[in-house]
Amino acid sequence: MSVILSVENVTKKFGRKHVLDGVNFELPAGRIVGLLGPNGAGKTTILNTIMNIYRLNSGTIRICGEPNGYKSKRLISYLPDANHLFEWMSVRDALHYFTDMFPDFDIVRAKELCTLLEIDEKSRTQTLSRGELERVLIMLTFSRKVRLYLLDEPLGGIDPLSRKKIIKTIFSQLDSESTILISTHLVKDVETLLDDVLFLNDGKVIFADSGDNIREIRGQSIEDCYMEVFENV
Amino acid sequence: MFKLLKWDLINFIKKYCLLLLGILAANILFELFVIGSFSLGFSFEYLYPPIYNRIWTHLLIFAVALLSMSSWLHKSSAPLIASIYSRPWKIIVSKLIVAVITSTSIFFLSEIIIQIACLITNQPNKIIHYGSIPMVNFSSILLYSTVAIFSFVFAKSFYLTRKSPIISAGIIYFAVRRIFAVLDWMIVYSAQIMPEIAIIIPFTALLFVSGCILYKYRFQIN
Repeated sequence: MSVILSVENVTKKFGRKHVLDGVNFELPAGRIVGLLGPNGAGKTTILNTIMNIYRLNSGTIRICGEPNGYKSKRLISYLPDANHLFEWMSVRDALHYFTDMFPDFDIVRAKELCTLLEIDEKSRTQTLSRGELERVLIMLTFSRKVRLYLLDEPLGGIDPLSRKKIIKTIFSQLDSESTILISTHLVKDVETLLDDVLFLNDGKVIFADSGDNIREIRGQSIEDCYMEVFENV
Repeated sequence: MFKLLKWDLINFIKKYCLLLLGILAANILFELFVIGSFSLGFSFEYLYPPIYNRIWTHLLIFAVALLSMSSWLHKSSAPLIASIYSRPWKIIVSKLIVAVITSTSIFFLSEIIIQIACLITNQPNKIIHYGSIPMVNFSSILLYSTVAIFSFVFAKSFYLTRKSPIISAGIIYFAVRRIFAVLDWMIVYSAQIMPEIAIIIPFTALLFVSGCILYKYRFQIN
């Protein structure tokens, strides 16, 4: 199985504080992986270092074997935890922007997802509710055909109906060539989605296993395992 | 490249339309009531235009160049900018074109509006008009926009200057401008060579390349 993302000894400091402290993990192709941890564990920082928004203090990140740089960006589609679209944009503007800026953006798929997720193309992104905006961002993220999807808190503050639609969309997107990394602290919401989990605390990976092992060998749900691991930290 | 430029222009206009109109109006008022006769204060040190004129024109070019780079100032749109896979020189050149077009348009439109106003009010136009903007003035806009963009990339690249990037960029802009003035004096004024060829184009190219390298290693490679 080919490795999509490889993170080796990654360290990131803000001032004197170690936000990431020697993080190591590899993500194979065709998996949905949960990056789980409490607030302030370093989940968003990892995603931002993968995206080169933050500069590493040490360590290496490779995407499909390529060192992390502008060339590797064509392999990643990123959904941040807040609205990253320009404030004046309507959904239609965003569709045009993505069509122009990302050659892997599939406009047909985007239109299908707009229908599926009940998105009004005329609406301005600034006027959308949290749930509506999240559906727009999910639509844009998954209309790109890439190897690695990074989702930062994709279900935070979303109503159950929208959550169901979003989970369905995430499931439908996965193929054997790509991998989805979901960062969240809402373990229960993503439990059914995950093939593998990484638990992160104080900038360190403290636990990594497959969902199957947790369920079958440990006889726990991912949420129970999460509670157990973090209660003992 | 053209798509990048297209969206940089659209974003710039949509975001700062009112602010740009305000800058244009302020420039017209400044030229009419403060200067009284129009001269390109930013051009070269040896022209010695009034100090307030030089400060104003530098401020205008600096502000426009910084606004063209404003996506980086907004933390919210950083993930979108960071997702784009484009070579550093394309990203910088796109921002530079936006800045140069805008600054040139503001100066040019100011001139046109002042001329029309003078015609309507039947007053003599004391203001020296651009006609077609002379090469030396256009290259000055290009030079100082490049200095401003380089200053901003530099300010955003290092921990100490990143804390207050606009003030840091302003200080760097002033320092680079002084270096340019000294070189200009040494090379052009003493040897009587055409300033565009002797110093403006090489200095602009050097800053542009430095900005691209800095951008690549500070923002695109981990």
